[in-house]
Amino acid sequence: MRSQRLIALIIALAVVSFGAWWFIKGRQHGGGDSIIVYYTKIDGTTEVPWRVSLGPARDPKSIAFYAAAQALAGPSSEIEAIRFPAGTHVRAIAIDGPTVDVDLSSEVAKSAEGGLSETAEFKSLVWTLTDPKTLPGIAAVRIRVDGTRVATLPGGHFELDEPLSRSTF
Amino acid sequence: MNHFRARLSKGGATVLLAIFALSTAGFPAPARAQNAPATTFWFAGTRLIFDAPVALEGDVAVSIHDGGLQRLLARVGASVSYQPQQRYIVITSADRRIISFTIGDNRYSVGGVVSNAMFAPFFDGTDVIVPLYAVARALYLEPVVAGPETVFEPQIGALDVRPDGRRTIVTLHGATALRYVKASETPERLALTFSGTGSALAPNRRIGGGIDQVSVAVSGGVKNPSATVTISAPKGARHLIAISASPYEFSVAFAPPGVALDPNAPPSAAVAAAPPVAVEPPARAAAAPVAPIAPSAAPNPVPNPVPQARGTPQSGAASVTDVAVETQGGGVSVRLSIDGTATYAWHRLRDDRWYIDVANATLDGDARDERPNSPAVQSVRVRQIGTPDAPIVRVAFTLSGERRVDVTPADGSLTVAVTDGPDINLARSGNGQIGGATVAESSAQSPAGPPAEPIAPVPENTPWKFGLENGASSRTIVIDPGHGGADAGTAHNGLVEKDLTLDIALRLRTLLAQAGWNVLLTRDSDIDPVTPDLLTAFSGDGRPNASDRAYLQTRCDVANASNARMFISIHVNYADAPSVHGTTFYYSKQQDVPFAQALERGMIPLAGTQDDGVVKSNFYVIKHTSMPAVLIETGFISNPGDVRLLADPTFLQNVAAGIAAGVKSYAGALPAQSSKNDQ
Repeated sequence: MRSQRLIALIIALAVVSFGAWWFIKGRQHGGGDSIIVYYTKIDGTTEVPWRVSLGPARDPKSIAFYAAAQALAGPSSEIEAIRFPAGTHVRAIAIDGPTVDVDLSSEVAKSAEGGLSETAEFKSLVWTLTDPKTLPGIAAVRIRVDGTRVATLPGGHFELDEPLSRSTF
Repeated sequence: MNHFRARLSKGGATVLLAIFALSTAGFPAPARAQNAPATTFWFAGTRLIFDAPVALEGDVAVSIHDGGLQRLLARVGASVSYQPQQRYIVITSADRRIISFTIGDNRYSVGGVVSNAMFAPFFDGTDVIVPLYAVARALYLEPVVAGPETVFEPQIGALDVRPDGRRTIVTLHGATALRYVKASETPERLALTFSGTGSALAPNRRIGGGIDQVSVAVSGGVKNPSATVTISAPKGARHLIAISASPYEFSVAFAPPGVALDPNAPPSAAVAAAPPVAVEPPARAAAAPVAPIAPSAAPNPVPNPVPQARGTPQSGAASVTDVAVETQGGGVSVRLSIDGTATYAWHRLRDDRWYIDVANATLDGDARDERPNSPAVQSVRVRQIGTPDAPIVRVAFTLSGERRVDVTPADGSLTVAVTDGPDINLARSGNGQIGGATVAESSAQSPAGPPAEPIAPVPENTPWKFGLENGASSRTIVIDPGHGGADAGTAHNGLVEKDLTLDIALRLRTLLAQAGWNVLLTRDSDIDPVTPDLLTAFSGDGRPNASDRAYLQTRCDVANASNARMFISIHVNYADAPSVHGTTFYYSKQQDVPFAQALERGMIPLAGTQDDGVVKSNFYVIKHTSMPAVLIETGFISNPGDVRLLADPTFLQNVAAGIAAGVKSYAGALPAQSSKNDQ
């Protein structure tokens, strides 16, 4: 009988501990149920925020991954926006202090047709990942393509060798 | 799938272990596991082989990396973002809907609308398992059980009706490219039959406003369904079929009498110009709706056909006498038999469409719509486009991904061969000539382009040349014509960026030299300059893209090493949306701003383009030059108005004159040349 009470107590403690851990995880991005994702209007410079609901995973890496994927997809198709090339997706995310390291798939190189697109695409990604309410403390974004660092993309020659921040734009 | 069997016992210790497993190890498999499903899977006439499907909770569990799932996603143009041990799985559909799953959560979101899967995605070792049917339904693919088979039936999954001023836009969203024939048509009522797709829409839906009703009837078997959609509008209304941003969408605009169906009609340009319904070509199957270009769309490979030029051939026009489409080795070959001399230009678009235009040519036969049995090509379309004065024969492909396309001109024919294999080095455009004295294909040369206007000769004492100039003074300006050689830059509408930038640069060189400046060009011909020493040095510095950086740094070094006073890089812009136009002055460093503003003030009044402003960006050549540097995107090669300007030598001269005026405004009086080594 006593052992059963002990087990019940341990179970209760475990459940409370798990709940507390889950709650703390959820608070790490500000505790909201949504994040702000930005897209660039076709003028190439204006960032438009839109709110995207967030699933239950709230650790910074998951949120960064989710936010980056949303930024790459862009808003729904009826909205005029400058978008990353179709098929561009996130291969991996890592967080290193104030910098998010985003590994993009090779489709991103298709965007290289002019300064407007390259500037606008990366601006939307950087603004999304450096929104202080989404990822507190993140100030810069490092880009990789297919796992490797790149100096520029072929067409517009937008430099990607160094981390990008909002002040880049 | 060995981790499926996480069995929970009734014992408290086991419960404890399960709780700790949940809090530490992540999200294991659901307790109830079953065997492989007793069915075979089919999609669009092809059997899908999954590596390790497991029937689970009324769905089928498959790895996110399963080959069958990957093939299914590729066939519908979807991409997946997933990172091992990370909890979100984000799938982007071809029409940019975002489908997000979370490990450990039954709920999933499709464009913000939450649904419930039969089981939550879970980790299986380092792999992640997802509910196949839920993924499929999110992509508008309904799993239909037909005896021993499960068929993923493509469906019209959504219907959007939105007002656009006094017009109403109806948009259908499909799992696959929506191909249709017109079943019936009156101005206020349009019935279309979409082949190869079913429907998840309600059979009848009363709309209101500019649309009375949308009805859907599905016929055919599960493997060859077709959906007939009938859209009815109030009496007197007219309609106009438009092309959407994606072939997976179909859009049509309805408007009451007196409301223009013109692209420039206020309040928006959501539906672009097209002839009225009465002059549309006869109904036929189309790989994409034959219609005008929506503003946000990529250039349309099959624009609205014009009345056939047959019977009234232009003087000297070539004739495409035969079109042969053959499937060979998984690829597709299209051979055009051509009588006469013609030039051609081809372009690869960003959404796996590819097209070639044979200029000044007429099509001696009917337009063609082919769906070859090939994993490399979804459709081939041949059309007569252009105008009676300038007829063009266009062959457009919708490819299944990044396929290699080879263009082979010959005397009397042109062959386009698509290979069933990825092309990792995708060229974006090329051009050449058929017949006449030469037979050539080049992806580096420009088509005819603007007619050459004489460029004023450079004064003989002007020390311009490619490369470094010892003792250049602060009278020195470096002009960088963007791209060159194998790097053509952007190429559309018969224009190639590298040629335009060089043209403007040569004109600007003359003007600045006449004003007394020493002018250096980073290139003065069709080359992409690079210093061999830089290639060697950069290849050993441990940083990425040694070659790319060496090429760009060479341009910077022309300015840095000559201690130039200013650096001007000339480019031509591109945007997916044809409505985007104008001139942008990009800067990187704060010291660039006054120079950019001076160029803006000087150029815009003379060039007459829209002023898109002074914008900060991160372009290599303006970031790594030590003097005030500006990169000018002079106009958009993707905008009809800007294209007309860029094709006009007078405009190019005005651009050069405008830049020269900006230089004069910024620099003031030419600095005195006090000594040979004045820096």
